[in-house]
Amino acid sequence: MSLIVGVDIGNSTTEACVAEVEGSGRAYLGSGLAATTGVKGTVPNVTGAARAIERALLRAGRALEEVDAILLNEATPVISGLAMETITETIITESTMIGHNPQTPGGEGLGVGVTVAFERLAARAPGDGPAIVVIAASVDFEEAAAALNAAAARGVEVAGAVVQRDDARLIANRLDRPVPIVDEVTHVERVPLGMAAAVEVAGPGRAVRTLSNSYGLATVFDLTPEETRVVAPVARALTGTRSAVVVRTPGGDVTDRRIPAGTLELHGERAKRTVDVNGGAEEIMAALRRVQPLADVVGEAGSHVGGMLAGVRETMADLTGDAIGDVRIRDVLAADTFVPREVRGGLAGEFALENAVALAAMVRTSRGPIEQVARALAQESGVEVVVGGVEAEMAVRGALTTPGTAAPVAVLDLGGGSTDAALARGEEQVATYHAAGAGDLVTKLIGSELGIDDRELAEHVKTCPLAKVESLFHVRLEDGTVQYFDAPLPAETFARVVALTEEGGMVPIPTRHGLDRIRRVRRDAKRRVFAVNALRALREVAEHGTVRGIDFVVLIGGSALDFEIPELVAEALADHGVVCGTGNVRAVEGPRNAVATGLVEAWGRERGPAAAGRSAAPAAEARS
Amino acid sequence: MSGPAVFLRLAPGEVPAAALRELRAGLEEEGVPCRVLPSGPPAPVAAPGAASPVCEAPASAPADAALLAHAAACASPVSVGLGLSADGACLHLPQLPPGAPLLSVSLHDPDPERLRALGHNAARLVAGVPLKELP
Repeated sequence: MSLIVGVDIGNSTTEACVAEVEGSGRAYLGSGLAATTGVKGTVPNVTGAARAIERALLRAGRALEEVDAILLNEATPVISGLAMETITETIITESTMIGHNPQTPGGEGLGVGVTVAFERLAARAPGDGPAIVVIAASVDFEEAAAALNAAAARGVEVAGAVVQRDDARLIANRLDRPVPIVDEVTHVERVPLGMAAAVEVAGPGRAVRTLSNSYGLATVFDLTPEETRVVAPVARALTGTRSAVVVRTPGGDVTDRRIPAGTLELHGERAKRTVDVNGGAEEIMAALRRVQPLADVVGEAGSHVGGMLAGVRETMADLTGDAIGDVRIRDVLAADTFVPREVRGGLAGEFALENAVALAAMVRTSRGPIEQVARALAQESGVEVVVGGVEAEMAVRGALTTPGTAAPVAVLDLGGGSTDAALARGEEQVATYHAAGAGDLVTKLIGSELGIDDRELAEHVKTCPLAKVESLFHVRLEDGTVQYFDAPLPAETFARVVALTEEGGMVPIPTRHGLDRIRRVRRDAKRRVFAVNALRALREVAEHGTVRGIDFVVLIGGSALDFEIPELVAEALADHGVVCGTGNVRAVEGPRNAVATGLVEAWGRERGPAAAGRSAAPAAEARS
Repeated sequence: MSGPAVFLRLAPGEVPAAALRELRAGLEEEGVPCRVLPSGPPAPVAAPGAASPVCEAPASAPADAALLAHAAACASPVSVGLGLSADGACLHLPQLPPGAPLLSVSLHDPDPERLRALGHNAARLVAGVPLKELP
């Protein structure tokens, strides 16, 4: 009887399991998990591996000295990269619009006039035409209202106001004749004076109608057809807001231009195609399908995508000592997304939704310094370390310990950097495919689409269910049910959408998006990455490229622990008549520990690592 | 009978008028009515859910802003109360312990912006809008 430890060094986690092996019998005693240290397949992994082994042994109640062999997977470095290329940009030159949604605008209706500084209002004579008064934060609301009333009494027409403080209703309530007022305009000092302007405030629950309509703007400002074409983006940007200000400056212009995002050169083994990143994800992925199998991808120098691809290549070259020119990008995944960007030249911190393309890329090498890792681990542990077993084959073996599975089974490893498929065809052959794009890309899409810069927060949105804090004592969960609390919730969570962390914490999501919208963004991001990649990867490993021929698909890997990713993948595969579910390795581990278990399962059997593997014995002095 | 409103209780004696103005301005900007209760023993108003034992109003008008706010919250039909004394202003809910208001602003070094924001937040609790950060 021997005591064996299987170790799987993954991209983000290192897993170990301890088993007593006697002939074909396996008694699993415990398993452990630690964060991978360093890039998978490199010597710094030893620290994480030792930690995982220690934890597994602790749970098994055994000591390192009792271990007969450590089995290590043939871990090869995988470097993945992500880049976002914004392909449209809204620029307001000379500040022509303020379209934002202060919580509480004042008055109602449309006011058209010429912008006048509050201080100059007293000097204005009747007959000077209607005025749009621009009021800075230094002016108190009572003072402002009194001055507006006085001006109106003198016969000066006041058509509307633009206010810096959150004062619109306070002023409007004190006017003899209320006018539309837009407040919380942060950069009120940038509003050009003496220019034609329009202020519009819609009634409660409504949106502006004149300023969000190109012809409405043309009517208000008496525009020619040519000028109307120029202001169309203004109208579009103001759609759906409750209040808006448009100032017309002579050279003013809002442009909505497409940024040249560069090209991607996809080199297939037989064909080559150049595709414009501006074309979006669909075009890129269609071009990719046409050149499969992919040999390499090159991005245009100077573009984000080009920079990211070069960076991925460089990191891998550094790691393996290969020349940069020899490192090949083996897969890319493009996804259409949009990014809220602060409008350049805006006055109230307005955002415009810009189109963008997110791209994940991946390189892996067939050879890595795994022997060095094995030697270092043997040195560190004083135990013989055996490297061996094709990783995909081990994953299949491990996954097959899931109750209810039978060969031929396909394994989908949903990770952080890549989505990997392995299919055991017949006795000997295991087909594998590694698709770029997984959990990290989902986080990036969620972050960019919701305008969340904080990666940790985006990660929370990805992994946690949402709730809306409806009062300080209750929240409404995603499914509509209500949860009550005895102690008051933190004031900063009030009326916000929060992510419910596993530890019972509530992380407020500081956006104005409602729960439904955040949920939709989250699920769409997961679908665009995992559902797309699951099909892509399975097609590559399936015979004749038909997913229908596969009976069982077992999901493993960190992202298979997600509360909805397995369900979304299963949904995508349901059309193909595939039984798909989250793995439950050895009926206890869930989607974890598949490769480590596979290594132990294979050990000592004819195709196991002991037969084919290479072993690294600890140096004699280390053993003593 | 009165319509729904945030109640604001004042401490007996001189009222810090500037502070009162800011609190009321914050509520007005949000469009939520506010009723200022005179100082003096609280009227026996039955608030919805007044069965809660913490809602028992103290026998005599408390001088402390937190207790004033709590009594106001208990009396308010929308269960949100403000209290204002020479020392400070507090925002309170009936469910909280009287001595632990949700938010409070000291008047030792009066900051109109903070008082205005407190008024906003009283209204926002009623309106179900995320609170403003006190500057």
